[in-house]
Amino acid sequence: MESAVEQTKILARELLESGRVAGILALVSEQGRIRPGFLQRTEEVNDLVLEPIYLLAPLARTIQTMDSQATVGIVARGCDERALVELAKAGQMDLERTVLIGLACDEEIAQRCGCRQPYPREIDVGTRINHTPAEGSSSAAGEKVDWTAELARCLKCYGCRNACPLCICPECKLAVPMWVQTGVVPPDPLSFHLIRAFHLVDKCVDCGSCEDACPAGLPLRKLHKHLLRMLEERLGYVPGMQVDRQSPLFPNLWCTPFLDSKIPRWMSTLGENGSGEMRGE
Amino acid sequence: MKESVEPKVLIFACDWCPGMGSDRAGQDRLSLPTWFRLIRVDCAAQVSGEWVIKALSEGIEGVMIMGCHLDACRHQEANHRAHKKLETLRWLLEGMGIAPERLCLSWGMGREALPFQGEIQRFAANMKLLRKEGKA
Repeated sequence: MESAVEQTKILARELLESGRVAGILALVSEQGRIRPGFLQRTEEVNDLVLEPIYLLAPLARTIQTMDSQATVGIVARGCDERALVELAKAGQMDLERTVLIGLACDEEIAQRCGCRQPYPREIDVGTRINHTPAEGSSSAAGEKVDWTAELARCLKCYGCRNACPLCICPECKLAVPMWVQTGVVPPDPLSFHLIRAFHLVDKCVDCGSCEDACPAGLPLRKLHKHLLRMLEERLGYVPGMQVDRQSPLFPNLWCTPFLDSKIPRWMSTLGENGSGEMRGE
Repeated sequence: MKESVEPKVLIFACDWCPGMGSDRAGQDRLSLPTWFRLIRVDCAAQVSGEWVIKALSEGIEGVMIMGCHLDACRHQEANHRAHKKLETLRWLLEGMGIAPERLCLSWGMGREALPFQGEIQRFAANMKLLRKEGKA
């Protein structure tokens, strides 16, 4: 049995030789340094590596945007696939023109990442590990964070936004002085971070790119974990895992109600005490 | 945050139901707090999360969004979407350690002055409570 890298190389070569893809997006090692690369010839596959974890989905989007015909092969981990699914829902990717080499993360990586689903839906390399982050571990949600102290360290480098595979707006509100005052570091803790997180509420696939990219080491993922938990508890939706389902924030409350609350009844205008019942909670 | 005697509250009210409700409250000479500012918008769904975030970051203590009854929006089901969108913002505030009560969503009040008064007074009581407890 070959190692995961060798298996991936074999699959990548086969895929390139079959001519189904214009190239394969993967990490390559070049003179001891690792970079993402778009492998178009079979010789190039020799340099393919799998670690460190680096999200390739944004690059796949870039390639597809630049070339409207190309079919892109991609060595995809669970987070990559979820990101691709969410990008496709936003109309940014064509999954028909994407061929995945599904790579399941091993136990160690899954532990380190605190990933809930460290495997893609179709696994080509590696074995599926059912991993649930233990409650109370660093990756578990719900832990109290002193955000005032944490956010004071922010350098406003926009690394979290740039690294995020799902920050796709051509014009970013974080760069507009009307919403976030420019030239102030640390940025206003409310506007910068809240707007960023708010835009990702129903998109975040918990890949951890923002936290990896942050030079100040802000625990941004904890915030997103909280949001994801709420989204799952209240609306039964997990971004990236439900391929056929659009974001539940769009349809009305009858189609996708909050799971734990009733739809408020029409209030009689003649009622004595109306304000209690009509609150939408 | 600058301390004033009364809490600073910003209200985004849909032009239709709550707007009429507020008008009626004024016509009926109901006693209303003086410290809230009401901005009339075309629909509650027009209020984006950024507006609320910006208001909070500028020192507003509480934001209320008032829209029409949930099954009586003039723009089909726009207020359903507004409700969902802004509810996620409340989760976000909670995750950031800010009391989610600072964002109040209220649906109803077509020409109903008393509920309008009640909602505002209840929200004011909440804000005062938060201040007393010293919550963020």
